[in-house]
Amino acid sequence: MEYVIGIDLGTTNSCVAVVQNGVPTVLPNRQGYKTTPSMIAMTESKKRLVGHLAKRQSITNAEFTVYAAKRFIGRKWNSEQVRQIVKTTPYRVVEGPHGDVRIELRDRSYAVPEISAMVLAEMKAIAEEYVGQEVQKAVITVPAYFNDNQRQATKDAGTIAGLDVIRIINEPTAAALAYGFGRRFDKQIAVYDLGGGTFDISVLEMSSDGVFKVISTAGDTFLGGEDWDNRVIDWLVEGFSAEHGIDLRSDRMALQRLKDAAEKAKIELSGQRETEVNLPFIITSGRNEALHLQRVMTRADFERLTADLVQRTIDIVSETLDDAGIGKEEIEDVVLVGGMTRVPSVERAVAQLFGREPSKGVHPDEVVALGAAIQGAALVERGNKMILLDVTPHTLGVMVAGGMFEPLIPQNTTVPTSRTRTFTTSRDNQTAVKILVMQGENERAQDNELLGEFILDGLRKANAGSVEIDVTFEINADGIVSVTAKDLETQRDQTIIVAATSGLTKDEIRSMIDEGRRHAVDRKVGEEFEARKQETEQIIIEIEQLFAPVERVVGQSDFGRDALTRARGVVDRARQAILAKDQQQLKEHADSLSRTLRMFKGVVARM
Amino acid sequence: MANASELTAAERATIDGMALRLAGTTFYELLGVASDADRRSIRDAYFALSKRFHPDAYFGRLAGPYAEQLEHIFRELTRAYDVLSNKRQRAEYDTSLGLDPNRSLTSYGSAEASSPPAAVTPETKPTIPEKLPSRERSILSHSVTSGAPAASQSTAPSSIAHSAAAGSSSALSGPSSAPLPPPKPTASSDDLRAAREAMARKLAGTRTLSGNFAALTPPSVAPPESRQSLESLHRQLAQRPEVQALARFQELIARAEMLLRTHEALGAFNTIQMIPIAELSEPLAVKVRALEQSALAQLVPQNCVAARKAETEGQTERAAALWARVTRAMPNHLEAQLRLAHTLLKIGRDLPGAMEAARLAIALSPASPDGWVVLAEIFEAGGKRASARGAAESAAKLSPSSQTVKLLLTRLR
Repeated sequence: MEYVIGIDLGTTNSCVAVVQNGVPTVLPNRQGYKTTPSMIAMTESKKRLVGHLAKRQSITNAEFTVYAAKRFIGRKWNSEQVRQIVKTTPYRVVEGPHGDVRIELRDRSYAVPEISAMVLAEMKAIAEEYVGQEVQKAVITVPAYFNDNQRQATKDAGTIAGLDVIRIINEPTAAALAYGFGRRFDKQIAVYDLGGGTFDISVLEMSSDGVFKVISTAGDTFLGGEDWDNRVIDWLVEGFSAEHGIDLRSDRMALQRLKDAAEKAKIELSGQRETEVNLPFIITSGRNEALHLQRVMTRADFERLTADLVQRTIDIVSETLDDAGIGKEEIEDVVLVGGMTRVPSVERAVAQLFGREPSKGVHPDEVVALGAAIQGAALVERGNKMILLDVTPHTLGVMVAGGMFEPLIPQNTTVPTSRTRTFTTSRDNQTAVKILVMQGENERAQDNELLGEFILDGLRKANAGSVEIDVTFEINADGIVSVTAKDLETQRDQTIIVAATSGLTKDEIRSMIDEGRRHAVDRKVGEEFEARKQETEQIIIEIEQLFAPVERVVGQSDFGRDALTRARGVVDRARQAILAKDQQQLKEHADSLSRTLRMFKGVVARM
Repeated sequence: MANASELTAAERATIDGMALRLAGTTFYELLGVASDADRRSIRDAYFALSKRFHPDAYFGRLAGPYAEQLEHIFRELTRAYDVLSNKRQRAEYDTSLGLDPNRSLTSYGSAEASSPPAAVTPETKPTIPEKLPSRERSILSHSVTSGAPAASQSTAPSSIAHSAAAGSSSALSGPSSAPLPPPKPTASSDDLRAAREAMARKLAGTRTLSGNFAALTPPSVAPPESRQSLESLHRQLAQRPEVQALARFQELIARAEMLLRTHEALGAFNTIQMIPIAELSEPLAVKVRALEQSALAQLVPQNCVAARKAETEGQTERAAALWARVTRAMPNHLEAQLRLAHTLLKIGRDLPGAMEAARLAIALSPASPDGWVVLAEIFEAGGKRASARGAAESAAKLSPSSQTVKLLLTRLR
């Protein structure tokens, strides 16, 4: 049977799940963990590491270890958000050829979807190992508030990883699907999803016959656990600076250690009232003396430092409920998603807002991947048991005269949908109009995201406002936007399928897919070589131990000496093949090595 | 990868059947709920229909027309739900139904609320197309049409909100006329037949004309004598069990073929209207449509006469329906296209259809200003004054001295 895997591609951790025999299961990685750090690294020997392996060496190789790449995905280099995070990343971020973001590793610069693809390829490998067959189809989740460019970039990442991404769904929606799976609920719920880098709130209505309707969704793609960590880092850095007059941020390795320590402190403070941050030899002073960082942080400290962040999420929730015209008392359950919801002040704030204890029924780290797998299975299986009625998270519209944004499809509209509006020309004798398709909530067009543009020409020469054009926006079930402009007089029309851009061209994606495939082969070959190498080395050791006794027995005869010389030649050649990492040679020598070992053993046995 | 042929005949029939329901029904009928249904039952109905008609229900198996059709169906369901689940919008919508005297349906809602007929069970999830609670309701208004031709003008359900693409045309409404006689409480077999006729016509309209013609439901034109024989035939047929439906349809097809051969085109046409095309397999449906087409072709002269007569007698809807039939048989019939545009404009409910007819008329006779004049008026009615002016100017270029054109231009300027 064909499996569809569900992948929660998180800012800090990723998770993969699959529905097997009707049961959604989270799949453990090779290390036995159910979540894998969304980290990749390039070692000095240009070896690519993903997940736990990357995280383990992140402190010593901070410059070439990439974490939280999701914060960059689908964003433009010159955006304010990118400007901000670049300041705190130990790895090198540069501008790409299309105004996109690239990350420099040892050998070259990588596009953000390429980095994410490495994580996705790892998740794919975990799933394949588990189900014992190749997996191609996947549903990947994104924060509900991701715009089309970010979604497309995520989809591209999947493609580069060799996956057929059959659907991108929203994280809180996926969480709701997992929450409602197998239960006959009939209620209105809110999903509060605070992850490593993003915050989402969604309100859904679910019926006992398996229909999930998203009513409203909102969020902030730049608000998450990392911000909480940064507050702790700031506090540590400022304290250190006050004491020693040294800015720890200037040192990449120190910064990486601080980052780890901050995250650890945050996690510890969820369970205990205070924690000690202890980082010996954090930096060397101007007088060449080693300095240590040692400071106690209480939960009160932590909550004081991050109170405004919690409040920001609560404000967004209140606003969303107001916009949807839903009273807090109408929410019958609150589902918490994301590791950050373990932070007591966050949980407290949510409980206080809704006046009820949030649901404890789902695992905040695994629920999203489970939901993605559930949606994947529901799509490909006949006899649909479940239907998800999703909404468009952002307003879609066009730019009109004066640089204003004219919305056509408002946010939180159930898709598929279509809307038409009539526009007129704005200048005399205007024979063409440029349709700029945009997405966002700002009145000024330039503040919104440009998704695409096209020109409708051949208009009749006339005074301004006297030629009318119908513009139709359509979003299909796959979330693909198409826009048609039609001259009502001539019936001429122009349509574009709005292809959101991840900042990569088709050719680039194609060559990245090839490289990804090569790397997958390399990795496989590498593993095989490693196994053969170990096997060969074992044989060589055994042979070497036998050289002396064998020489004692047969060393007198010419035949024996000749055999010993030949055996030495075989061992040397095998050693050279290992050094040269030549798998083919190694394979060829393996047989002669085994023969030699058998022969030696035979000789010794006759003694 | 996606392959439309993977849809089974039954699935295609389900989709076609639902597509048929879209035109000319109220949001209540579309969702299959009573007009006084509470929010919960409206939601339940919408959810149940979504489960069957959301494109994801056929994920990976949809292509071409069925993908579009399904998306269209789902969009309409959502529109109905969005309006009916919002207090303010529902009130506005109810008012728009109530204000329009053409609407027999409002009174239905209240009649139904006091004494629901056995056939109408809005609480149960509608199962389409096997049994449509709402179908019977829309049928009743049709039966009135066939029973009282004089009042036919006012009976076809208007599609105010349906024809609206969130644009200015949403304000359009049908002409006012005398109120209807009270509807019958239950659906008779006669009503069923009439409904099927209307539906089959709607389907044919969707296929042969550009989309929006489906919104127009022409009144029945069967003369009493042929109706009688057909009715007896129908009663006879209706007694047979559902499993023999196909044999029945084939019988009807054979009958239509025979009538066509003997040049009884009207009889053939009316027979064809009794066949629910949506329930047929594709090859059979193609055959029926071809039969219908040839019947209509034979009927062109007599439909033209009847249409002109209807127009002079002020039966605009009937005239429009007849002109639509003529254009379906002969798309290059200039007079029919012009008159169709004109009558549709007068009814004011299917402006896109009118526009299409006007454009065809212009294409058929580029030197005549008539098409431009109608087009200008259509634009005007749709509130697109600038485009109207443009069309009027085109007319003026062709016929600078025409009084009508001059008047039109002055009005638009």
